[in-house]
Amino acid sequence: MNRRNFIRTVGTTTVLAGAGVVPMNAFVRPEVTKLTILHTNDMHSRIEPFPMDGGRAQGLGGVARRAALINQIRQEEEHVLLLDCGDIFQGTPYFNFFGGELEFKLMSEMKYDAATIGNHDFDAGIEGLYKQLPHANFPLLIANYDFSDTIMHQQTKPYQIFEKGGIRIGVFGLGIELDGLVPSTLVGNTRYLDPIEQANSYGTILKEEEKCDYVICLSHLGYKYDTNEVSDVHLAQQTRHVDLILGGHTHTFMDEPDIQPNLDEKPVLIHQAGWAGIILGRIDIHFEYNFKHKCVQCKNLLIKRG
Amino acid sequence: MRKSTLFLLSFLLFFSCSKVYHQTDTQSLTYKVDESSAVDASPSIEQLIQPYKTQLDHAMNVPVGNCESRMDKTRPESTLGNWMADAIHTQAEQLLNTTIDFALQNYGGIRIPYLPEGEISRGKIYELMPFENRLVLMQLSGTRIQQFLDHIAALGGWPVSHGLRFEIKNKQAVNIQIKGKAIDKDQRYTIVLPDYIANGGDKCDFLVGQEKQVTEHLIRSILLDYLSNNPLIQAEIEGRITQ
Repeated sequence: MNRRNFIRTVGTTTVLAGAGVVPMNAFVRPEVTKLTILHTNDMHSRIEPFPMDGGRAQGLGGVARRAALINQIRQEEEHVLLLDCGDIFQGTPYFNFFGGELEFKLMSEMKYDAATIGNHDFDAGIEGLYKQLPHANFPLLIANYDFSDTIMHQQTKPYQIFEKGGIRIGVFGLGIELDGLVPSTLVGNTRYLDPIEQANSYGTILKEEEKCDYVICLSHLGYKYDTNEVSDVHLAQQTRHVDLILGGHTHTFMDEPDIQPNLDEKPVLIHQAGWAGIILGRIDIHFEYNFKHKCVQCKNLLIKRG
Repeated sequence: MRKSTLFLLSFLLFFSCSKVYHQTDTQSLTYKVDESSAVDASPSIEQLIQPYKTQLDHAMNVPVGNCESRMDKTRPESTLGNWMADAIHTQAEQLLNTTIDFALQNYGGIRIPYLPEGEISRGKIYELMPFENRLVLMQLSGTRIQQFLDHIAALGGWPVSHGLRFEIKNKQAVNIQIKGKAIDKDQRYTIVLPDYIANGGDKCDFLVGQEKQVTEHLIRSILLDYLSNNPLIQAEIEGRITQ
C-alpha cells in the first residue's frame, strides 16, 4: 500500500468511526487468536509456602514459585492477562508488620494487570489500604464501592479495558457487602452499591459502548451460599454481558469452571482458585473473527480439563 | 484506480465491522504451586522478599509454646477452640480483675485450621489471630444470651470457654448451662468476646448498642501473655457444645 492510500484508509476509518460503525480503536483483528487468563484470589499475605508441619497445604504456595510459573507461561503464551480477586492482605505477620507493602510490590513485580478489593483489604482501615497504593502499579477495579466520601476517592476504577491479540477485554470488579463483615470504623464512608445492578450497568457499557469482545468480572462476592446472599452464581444468572466471573472470598478450589446460564441463556463461566496462592488458575479462550452468524471452529462452549 | 481502491477499502471495512469474535474453544487448567514450580523460583522475587523475611523471622521465629498433639479447629467444638476460649477467659479475669461467666470467640476469627504438634512460634500465633481484635466485656441478660447462643447454634457452634455448655437442636441452643446452672432469663451474665463481634460482626447486630467495656487488650497479646505462663498447649473435647 502506498502512503497516499494508507492516509485515505485512515481517513475512511475515522469517518466511519464518527458514525459509530467501527470501534473507536480500529486495531488489528486477527482471524483467530488466543487469550490466556491467569488468576488468583484470597492470597492472604501468604508470601512463603506453607510450612512442612503435616497440614493439608504443607509445602504448597509461595510467591517466588508462583512468579516462576507465571514467567514460564508468559514465555509460552503471547496474550496473557494476570488478575486477582481480592483479600490480598491479612493472614501472616507480613501484613501485621508491613501493612501490605510487600504484597503489592510482589504483585507489581509479577505484572498483575488488575485486582479487585476484598473485605480483608480493609483490615488496616481504608487509610491503611490507601497508604499502600504507591506500591501497586496495577489498577484496583471496583464497581460497587462508592469511595467518593473517603480517602480512596478516585484511587480505584470501576473497570479497565485491555487489548490483547486483537481482542478488547473489559474487566470490572465487584466487592462483597461490608456491613456486618468489616467493622464500620475500618471502611469509613464507603458506600456499598448493589453488585447485580452495577454488573448490568457496566456490562452494557463495556459490551455496547466500549465494544468489548469479552467481559470479565473480578468478584469477591463468593461462589455460592446456602442462603440468599448474593453470590457469583446469582451474578451469572442475573446479568447479560458478563462472559467470565473470576471469584474469591469462599476460598473455593474448583477443578473446572462452573457454567451458569445468564439472562439470555448464554453460558457464563465461574472460576475460583482456592486461596493462599496454593493454586494458580488458568483459562485459555480461543477466538475466531467472523460474521455474526458464522463461526467455523465454534464448539458449544465445551470445557476441557487440562 | 484510486477511487476504486477507496471504494474497496470502505466496502471491506464496512463488512469487517459486522464481524465479531466468537469463542471457539475454552480450556481450563489449575496449577498446583509446589516445589516442581520452584525449580527456578524467580530470583528477583526472592530478592524482593528477603529483607522483609529477615526482619520478620527475627521477631516471629521465637518459640512461645508447645503442642503435645495437633490441635484442630472444628465445629461444633474443638481442641483449638477450647484452648483459645479458656486462655482468653483466664487472662480476662486477671486483666479485668473480675469474675466472668464465659469467654467466646467467633469461629471465623481463628484463621488457621490447626496448630501442629510440637513447638509453636510467635508467628504461628499471629497466623492464628492476625486481626487487631480487642477484648470486650459485656453484661447481658439471660434472654440476650439465649439469642446470642441461638445465633451461634445456627452457625454450627463457636469456641466457648469452660463456663458454658449447650446443645444444638434444630439450629437453636437448648439445655444451656452456665457455670453448671440452667440459664436464667432474668439474670445478668458477664462475658468476654472480641470487639469485632461486640460491634455486630458476623451478623451479631443484636449486640450493637448493648453496654460494653472495650479494653485495649488485643486478643493476640492475650494469647501470647497466657502462653508465657502456660506454654503447654492442650485441651480436650468435653461436650461444651454438642449436637
